[in-house]
Amino acid sequence: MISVKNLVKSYNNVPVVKDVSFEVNKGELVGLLGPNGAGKTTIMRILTCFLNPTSGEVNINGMNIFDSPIEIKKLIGYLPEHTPQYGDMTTIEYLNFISEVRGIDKNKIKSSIDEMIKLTSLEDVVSKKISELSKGYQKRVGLASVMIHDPEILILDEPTTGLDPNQVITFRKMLRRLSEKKTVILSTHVLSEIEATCERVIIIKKGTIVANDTLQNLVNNFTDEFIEFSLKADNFTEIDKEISKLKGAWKLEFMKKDAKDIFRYKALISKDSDFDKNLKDLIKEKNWKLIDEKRNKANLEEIFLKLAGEEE
Amino acid sequence: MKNNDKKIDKIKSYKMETWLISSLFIAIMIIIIFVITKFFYFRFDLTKGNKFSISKPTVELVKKINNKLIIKYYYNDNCREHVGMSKVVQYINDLLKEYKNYSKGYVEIISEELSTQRDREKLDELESKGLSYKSLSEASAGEARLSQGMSGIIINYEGKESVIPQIFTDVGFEYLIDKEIKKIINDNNANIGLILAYGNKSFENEYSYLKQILESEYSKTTIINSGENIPTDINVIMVIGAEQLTDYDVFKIDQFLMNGGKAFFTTSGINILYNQYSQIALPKDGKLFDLLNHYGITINKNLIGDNESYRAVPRSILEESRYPIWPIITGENINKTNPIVKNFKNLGFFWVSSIDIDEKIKNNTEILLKTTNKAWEKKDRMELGLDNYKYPIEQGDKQFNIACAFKGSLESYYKGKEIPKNENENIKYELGRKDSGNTQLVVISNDMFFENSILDSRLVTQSEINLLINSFDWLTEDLSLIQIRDKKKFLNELDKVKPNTKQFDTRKNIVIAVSTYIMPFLIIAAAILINLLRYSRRKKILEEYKK
Amino acid sequence: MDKRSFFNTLAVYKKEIQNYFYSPIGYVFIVLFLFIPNILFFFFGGIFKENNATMRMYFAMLPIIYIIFIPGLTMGTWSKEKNDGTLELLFTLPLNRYEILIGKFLSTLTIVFIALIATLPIPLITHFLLGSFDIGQLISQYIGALLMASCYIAISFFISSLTKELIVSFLLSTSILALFTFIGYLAYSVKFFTQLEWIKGILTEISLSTHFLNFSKGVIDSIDLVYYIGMSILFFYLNIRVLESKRWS
Repeated sequence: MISVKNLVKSYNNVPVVKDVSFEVNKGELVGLLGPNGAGKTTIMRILTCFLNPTSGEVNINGMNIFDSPIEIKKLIGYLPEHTPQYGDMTTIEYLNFISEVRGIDKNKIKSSIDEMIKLTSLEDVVSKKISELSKGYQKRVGLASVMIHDPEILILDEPTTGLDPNQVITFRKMLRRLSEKKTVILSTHVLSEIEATCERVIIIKKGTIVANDTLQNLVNNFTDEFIEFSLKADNFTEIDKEISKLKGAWKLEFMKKDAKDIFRYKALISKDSDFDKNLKDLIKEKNWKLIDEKRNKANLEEIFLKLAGEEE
Repeated sequence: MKNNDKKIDKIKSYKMETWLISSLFIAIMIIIIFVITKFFYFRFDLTKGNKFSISKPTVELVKKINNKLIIKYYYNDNCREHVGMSKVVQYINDLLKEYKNYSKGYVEIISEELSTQRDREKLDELESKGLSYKSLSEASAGEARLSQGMSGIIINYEGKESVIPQIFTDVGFEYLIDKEIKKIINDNNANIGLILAYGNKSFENEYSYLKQILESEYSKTTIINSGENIPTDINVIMVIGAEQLTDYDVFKIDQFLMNGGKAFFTTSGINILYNQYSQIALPKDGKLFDLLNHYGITINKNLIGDNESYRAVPRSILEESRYPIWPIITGENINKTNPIVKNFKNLGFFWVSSIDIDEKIKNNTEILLKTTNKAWEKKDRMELGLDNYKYPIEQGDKQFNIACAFKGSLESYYKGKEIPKNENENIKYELGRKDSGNTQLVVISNDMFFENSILDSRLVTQSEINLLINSFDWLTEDLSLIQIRDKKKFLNELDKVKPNTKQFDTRKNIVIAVSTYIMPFLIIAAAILINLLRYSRRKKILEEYKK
Repeated sequence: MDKRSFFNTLAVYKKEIQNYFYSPIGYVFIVLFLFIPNILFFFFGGIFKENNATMRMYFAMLPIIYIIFIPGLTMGTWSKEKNDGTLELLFTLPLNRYEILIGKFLSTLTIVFIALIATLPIPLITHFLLGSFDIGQLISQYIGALLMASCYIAISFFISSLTKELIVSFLLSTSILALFTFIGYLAYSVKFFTQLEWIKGILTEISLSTHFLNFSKGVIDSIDLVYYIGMSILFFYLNIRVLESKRWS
């Protein structure tokens, strides 16, 4: 359905997307995950023919984005980040405009708008100016507008930012229902989003793909562990100083104080790391006391942190 | 994949670089079309009377030119710097271009701007050739600035030179040029003979303006005194008045007409006599009346007053008197088919008589001008002084003719008679005699209105002068310039109401109020209405969905 | 233009017209357009001072009026869309660039058209109350005013596409339009050496205002039609190119 090969995009010779290739099949729900500035939005803008790639090939339904942008745009419903809308229009006027541009049959415009309004529960705000709506409603108007022509592909850039938790849940439900029939690509920098909705995740870091797999596979193939331990010692400053010097962990953080002199830490380590040994040596040397130690397999969040997080 | 990159590169370079080239290409295309349209251009002149295009007679005239004709237009920089005058300069240049465009290549236009400082010598030379200066005033920033403008034309043709000393208005410009061209290429059909038979007036004194006007319009005008024969090269005569003609003079006019000559008669049937104390009108006697009578045109010895359309004569600064014996012919009473008068809106006359047309020539005669049907006549001695007038003098319920045009065959007044004796015994009649012949006549029953005193008083407008010239053009069957002549009044004055009156101010205020205050108000009202409608529509939609 | 394109253009046109009519900008434009030139025309020279039934003085100042008014109307065309991010929305809808451009152009022209129509009471009422107008001249003047407006719109549209800032768009458009308008007057008021006369010719030919002179006289000349239509097309083309090039930046 969507195939991206060796996609490169530079702004003023600074590459933002570097050699990205991936495919999305029909009916898949794929998440683009990455911190802000990783290039998610740029990739989406290229897919929706808003930007042209510097090099690489993008085909959607077998059509090249250079050859038939209009045909491609017809297939796609694209909700940009921050859901820009014409604030002076009312919800219904805006949906009307979109339906006209989308070439929906004149007789069917009313019914398709009604359907969308029902789907996104916009009944209360149909006559309000969009600029007067809350962020959540604006998002819903945006969603209604991208689905009104029943597109085969939905591309949603950060669809849940600005929504309150209840709305997020409703949105996720809706998305799952939609993904039965449609191909969906959504981007987010929030992991839980992906966990809750997506089948497959593409993790992007600084313009390159660092992981592209189903969530299950990702967790299965990920061998890193994290250790949670607590120490008993007198001087916290000293402990913190010494612990942070320890080698072998790619992430180490202080969690909380269990008691007056008991300090809890968490460390993420690779499977073959010698962090454990180093820690034991240090405790022995400093004459501290190890209260407890737990070893766990890393969860998605840690995986994401490792793959996409800032390098120290 | 490599292929695709190449494609991107290709598209990209096409988009990025060639857009500059292609827009340059478009710009060049526009310039080329521009240049092409300079040569193959069309103009739709939507103005009334096509002010900005040369008219058909001019096109025909220009096409007649078969030798090099050079029109040189000179103007100095003061003209170009003057706001109003710069438009005239532009207009003249524009219109002269048209002359060139329509000619068969023989017309050359030279337009030259001269600097007051640098081209001193050239300007002096032009001044010696006849061009003259006119002061131009211009108000700028509250200050009036005066400058000397020169704007004139010199036309050269076959070694001849014709000068138009001053052109400071676009009004009548085309006519002015055409007239000069006609004169210089000798395309003028009218050689005019002037016969004055009105009291002891002369072309040197009382009719000098008239003579000037005719001389500026036609290449040749000759004064024919009593007893003199009419020269053979003359084809139109103008006869002013009636009483001073001898039998021989009447005979020579008759024979001139029988031989194909044409005539323009202006005479009333009354004599105006005035001294310090009174002004009176008395019936006029003259042998010319008998001649015209014989032809079938009777000029009655009466004075016509029109109670409906007349001139108001100022008595003092504040007062105007209604003066029905200076009738104004207007509207329906002007013949709308005859080219002499059909374009006039109104024409004023001074102490006219009525004209009757005999049945025998009715079919060949057109009545040009009539009074309204509220006119009256008086046949005996009449006081003319304003003080004797209390409007209405008489009840009027008749309509009188005061001008007519005849075209057709006439029988000689002297058929079977002997040649009358010429008082000037040195001059004999030498031309052939004819008993009948085809001719054309224009008769206007008024003899005063080309007198200097009337022309001077500005009672006569360009219309009355054009009536004279149009008549000559009709008589010589050269109608080409008649239509350009009324191309003079381009500026449509605000003349439906007298300016500076209360009524004018009221109407002016209506215009200002509606366009400047009411219209914006209506727009704002429309704004409120449209947004209210939107609001109610929004409400309706909301209710619909809430259900 | 096929049927789809027509409906797309129509949809954009409707949206833009709604934007003008549901917000104050269109009305403010029309009201000021009626008010300011009329005041100048009635009280500082013009019809009653000349005592002539002609709108030539009105139309003589129109090029200068347009310098301020047209950018005021068009400054947001692209700048505001860019600023609000709605450009992304518009360009990811299945619309061609030219459909969007023409829709926007026609809607702006409609506003100018309404404003011009709203000035008609001046000649019409004067015609009936005070003195007859030359109707042919009037028609040519209004046609010219509309054509000149489209040229001004095309130029300020183009400038609006270059920048994100409304105020920059306005000021830049005003300056460029003023330049193109005044070089025509300049040619008349500045002395040129005889050798440099051709520069004067070129300046008058490229000026936005000199090509209006014929229209305001009452003459429709092919060269003026070519100029206004050509300039509009040129700037439309540049406009589309600028929008297109944004995809590569």
